Amino acid sequence: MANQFFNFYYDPARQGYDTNTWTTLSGAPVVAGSQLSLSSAAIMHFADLLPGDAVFSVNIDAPAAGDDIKFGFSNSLQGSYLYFQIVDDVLTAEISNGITTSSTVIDWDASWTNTNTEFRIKWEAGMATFAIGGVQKACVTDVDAIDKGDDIIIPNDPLSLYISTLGGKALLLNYIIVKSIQSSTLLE
Amino acid sequence: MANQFINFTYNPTRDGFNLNTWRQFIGDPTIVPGPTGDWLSLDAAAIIHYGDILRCDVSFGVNMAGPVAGDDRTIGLVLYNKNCYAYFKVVGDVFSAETSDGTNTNSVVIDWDPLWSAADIVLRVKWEAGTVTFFVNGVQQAAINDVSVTGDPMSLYLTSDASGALLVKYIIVKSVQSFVMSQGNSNSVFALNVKEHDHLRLTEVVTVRHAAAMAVSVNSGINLSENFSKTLPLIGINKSDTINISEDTTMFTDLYHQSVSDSLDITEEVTIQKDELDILPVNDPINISEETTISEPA
Repeated sequence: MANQFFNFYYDPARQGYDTNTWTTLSGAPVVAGSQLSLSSAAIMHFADLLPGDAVFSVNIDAPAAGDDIKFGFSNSLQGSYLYFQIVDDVLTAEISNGITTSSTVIDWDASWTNTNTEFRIKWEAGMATFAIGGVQKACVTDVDAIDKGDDIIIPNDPLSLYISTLGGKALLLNYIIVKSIQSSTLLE
Repeated sequence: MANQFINFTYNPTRDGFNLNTWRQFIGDPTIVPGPTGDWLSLDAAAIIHYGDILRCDVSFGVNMAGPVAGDDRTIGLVLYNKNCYAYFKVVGDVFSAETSDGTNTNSVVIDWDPLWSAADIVLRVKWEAGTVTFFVNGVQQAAINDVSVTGDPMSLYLTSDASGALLVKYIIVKSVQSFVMSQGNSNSVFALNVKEHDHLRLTEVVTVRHAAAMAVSVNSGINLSENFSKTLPLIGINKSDTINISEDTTMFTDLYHQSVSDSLDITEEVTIQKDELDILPVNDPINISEETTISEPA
């Protein structure tokens, strides 16, 4: 038996925006300075991950009416996802296994506004933890769900890195670091 | 239970300089013939590998001149935009071992042995969980084991802007716990942020020659003036950053009737315009220097 985890990072300064690694779902991502800028754009990574601990270093304005931003893990086929979501002026941690969903509101901290901030999603078997700036903001487990008589919720199928910015607000991406990946397959 | 480690090498003779493997940040790395094979030559150049490495034992077979004022070299590993690193660093005439997790940093000065200058040496960075050990020619020079040792994947990183090129004979990477080969768009264009320990050097040479002898009378005045301006998209200049703008102005003249009252005025205006300047702490040093030499033929 061998335990081997995969770890990789995406850095726009090193890799630019490479369509061999990312598929553009909409809009036109551009490298601005040393950051990847997404405004009215959506991209998805080609790697299929199961599971992973992803840190997104982003720079975005405070949530406001009209915003529609998501970044995290997603599988568009099944509707499974784990991501941070901003809709209008509300930031939430969202989870779905394609059947059952969960949403946790996170109070926006002014210190995150237009500042490079790390948003982390630690996706494990039966548990997902959301942290911002190193501080845990939400934690959802299948065990808690079962104890409450609910269905399990944590996805257990491969997902991909996903970033979407609709509504015109720009998201600046400094880097993504993904660690503790038990399974990673890069298809093109 | 078995732990599987990954090992690989970079051999310029075998691999050349491959843009599918390396991202060319600055300058033009070239392959040059060496005594026993080809070497990768970095002169005013910077490159980063596309492989994402989590912990490793990496040895760089290199050849470079001893550190002198104005030098800037980096040999080791980095996660560029997070400013995580574990590398040997040359800044001016100081050689050091450096680590950073993106927030916390550490630096250990290493006394440069003259035997290392312009000689084939091995610089080894042994990166383990919580500890980085630095060796030169097999002798431990520094060991850092604090919070500045990152747990994030990094990539091989080499830069050289110094007196003489950095020649890379080989790179051997062993005991890699995790390795993923990323891909990149080598045609993308981006701007680099000035980070701590970075050197930003702008130089200019102005030469004015007078071909014909001139009788400079009592009331003559020779005025040479210049406006030099450079727009820099600097963001976040940190306390330790150094920005040097220098100019050499040399005037050759066949003056031989120079009277006491003659005046030679050489003036210069240097303007620094900064776009998108977010942070410029009060104590940031910005040095503007000038060397002016007036010489006569013997």
